Amino acid sequence: MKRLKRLFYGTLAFFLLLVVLGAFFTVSETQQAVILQLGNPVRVIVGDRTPEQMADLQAWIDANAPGVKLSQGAGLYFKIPFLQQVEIFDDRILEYDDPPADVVTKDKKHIQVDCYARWRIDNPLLFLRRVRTENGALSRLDDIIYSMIRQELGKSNLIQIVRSTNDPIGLGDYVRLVNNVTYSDTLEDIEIDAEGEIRETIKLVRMIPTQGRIAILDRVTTTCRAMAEDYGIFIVDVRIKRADLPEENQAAVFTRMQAERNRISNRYRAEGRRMSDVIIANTDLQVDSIRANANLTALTITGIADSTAAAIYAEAYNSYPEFYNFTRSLETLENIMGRTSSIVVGTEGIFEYIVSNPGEFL
Amino acid sequence: MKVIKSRAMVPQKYKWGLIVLVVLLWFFLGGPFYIVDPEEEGIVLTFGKYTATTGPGFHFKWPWPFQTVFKPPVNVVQRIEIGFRTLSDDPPVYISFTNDKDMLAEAQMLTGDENIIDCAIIVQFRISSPTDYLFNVRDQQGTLRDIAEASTRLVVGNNAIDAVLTTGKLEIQNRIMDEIQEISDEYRMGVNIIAVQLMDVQPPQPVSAAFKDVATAREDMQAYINEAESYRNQQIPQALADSVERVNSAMGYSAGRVNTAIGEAFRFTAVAEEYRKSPGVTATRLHLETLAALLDTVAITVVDESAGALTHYNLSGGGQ
Repeated sequence: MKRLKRLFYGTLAFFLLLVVLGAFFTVSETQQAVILQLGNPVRVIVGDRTPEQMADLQAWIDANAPGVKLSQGAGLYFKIPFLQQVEIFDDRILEYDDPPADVVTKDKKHIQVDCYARWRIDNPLLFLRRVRTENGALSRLDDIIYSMIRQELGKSNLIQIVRSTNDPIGLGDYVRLVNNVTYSDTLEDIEIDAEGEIRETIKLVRMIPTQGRIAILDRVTTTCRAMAEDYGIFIVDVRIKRADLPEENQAAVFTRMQAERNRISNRYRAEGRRMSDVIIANTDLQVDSIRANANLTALTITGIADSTAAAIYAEAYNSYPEFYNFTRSLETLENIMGRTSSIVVGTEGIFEYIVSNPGEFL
Repeated sequence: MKVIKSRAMVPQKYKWGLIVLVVLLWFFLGGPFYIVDPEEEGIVLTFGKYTATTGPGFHFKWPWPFQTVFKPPVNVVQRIEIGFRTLSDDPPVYISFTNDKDMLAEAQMLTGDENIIDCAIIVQFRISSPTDYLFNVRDQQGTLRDIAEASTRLVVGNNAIDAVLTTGKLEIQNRIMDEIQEISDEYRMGVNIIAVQLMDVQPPQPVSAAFKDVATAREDMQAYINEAESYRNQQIPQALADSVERVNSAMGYSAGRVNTAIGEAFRFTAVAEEYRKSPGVTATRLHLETLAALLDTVAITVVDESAGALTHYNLSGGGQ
């Protein structure tokens, strides 16, 4: 009897404890909750929301689940034990990562796209009704995002998926950084100017503003967001984590890159040779002209000297023409009669002849 | 019945030990105190609601389940590695895109001119708002990694390969940093991106030789030009020196020529003046002087006219 009594009180205390504990629950800062009474929602507790978001949610509840109480904020809450259950949901931004998918672009190129999305349970009540769990949500997101990405990327060329601005390959900056780079719509070139500075021209690819990765992702995000709203989910954003060429297509790109680089190398070397030839030719020309100028100067100087000397001689000789004839004759005689000359004379009258005709010797 | 059963399961002698163990666990794991390390901040939740932030040191609190504490490392600069992983700091062990296939997939990306490039980057960040960091995003590290990868590809995809490889690096780092910060602010992650560093940027291995050759070609070009310039620097001064020499020698000749002329003219005039004074004597003297000088050196053969052409006397030893 005593034992039965103890069992009774023990059981009673146990149930009382269960009742007290079951009446309280906490909603943490990272959580939100829906309270169900026999399966019907009676109260929604959400976390961090702007007043506008709260108003939207209230309006939705008024329209779709009248009578459900909406409250906000983390803390300790009360419910009726046994009669009411609590469903707790995460209130943070949650992750979604889809497996890499092969996408064919508009220009028929294959590209391996790996996307991620970030999402939040925006309307816990709707979320509970439509998908119940996070795993359920992920499979819905799979359906939505995967198809939207394929659809949007299929409408774009590869380059539009890779790039996101209308800048000529971000060359707006590139030109600013390397001020001897210009760009053109068609050409790709390297030149070396007279100072030996290298000037590069790079081909630019233009895009219309509605294209490009950011524009594509904006469209994907907007569409996905609208579709996910039905599940009580808010998609924060959808982004391309990786968009790379599949391995079998990389080889072609590598070949092109290699050819491009080889062309640049060849161009550099050819330019070097050309520049060198120009310098050498210029040098030779300059050297020749320096020498010719020097020659001209030297000849002019000797010419002037010769003419000056001639004038001096002429002046002196003109003053004494007769004496000039005489001395000149003597000099000439001296000049023709060298050490090796010999004279043959007769035995008679030689001295008389010479002495008597001094001026007419020749 | 339940009570009896549980009594049977736990032998009497272990009962107190078990209770002590449970109490100790509760005391140390969820108990009435906690210690915040210097690099951390204590974020106190009361019934799940954020109520206080505490600094480093020893603190009291209500035991679990009333209060719980998170201790995010707010003063630590954390880093995310993309394209490589540091496996151990000491000794430094890395895997990177050069030796690991997964890392290569992470590092390899398309540039705006449809080339492929390998980039290893580091993102450094610090928790700027511990409450935002804890309460707004679930997988913070994974999210930051996703953001960093997406941002890197976005920015690199906007640039030409040469910009990424050379001159644009700094600008690109800043752009990536801005982009990551912007997206994490959008998520209200409560992190401050301190730096983004492009650790290693390389053309893919299959084409790296061609890229290196461009640099070599550039040097070759410079070498060709330098060679020609050294030729020029040698040739032109040589020519200038030669021309100075040429002109100088002409000037020397000129001075000699003119001076000789002046001298000779002077001598001529002087002698002529003598001649004018006494022409006969001077003429004869000059004549004889010349002849004397001449006849002294010249071989003279005297022929006797009466003896015929075959008879002659050689008067000097030198003549033949």
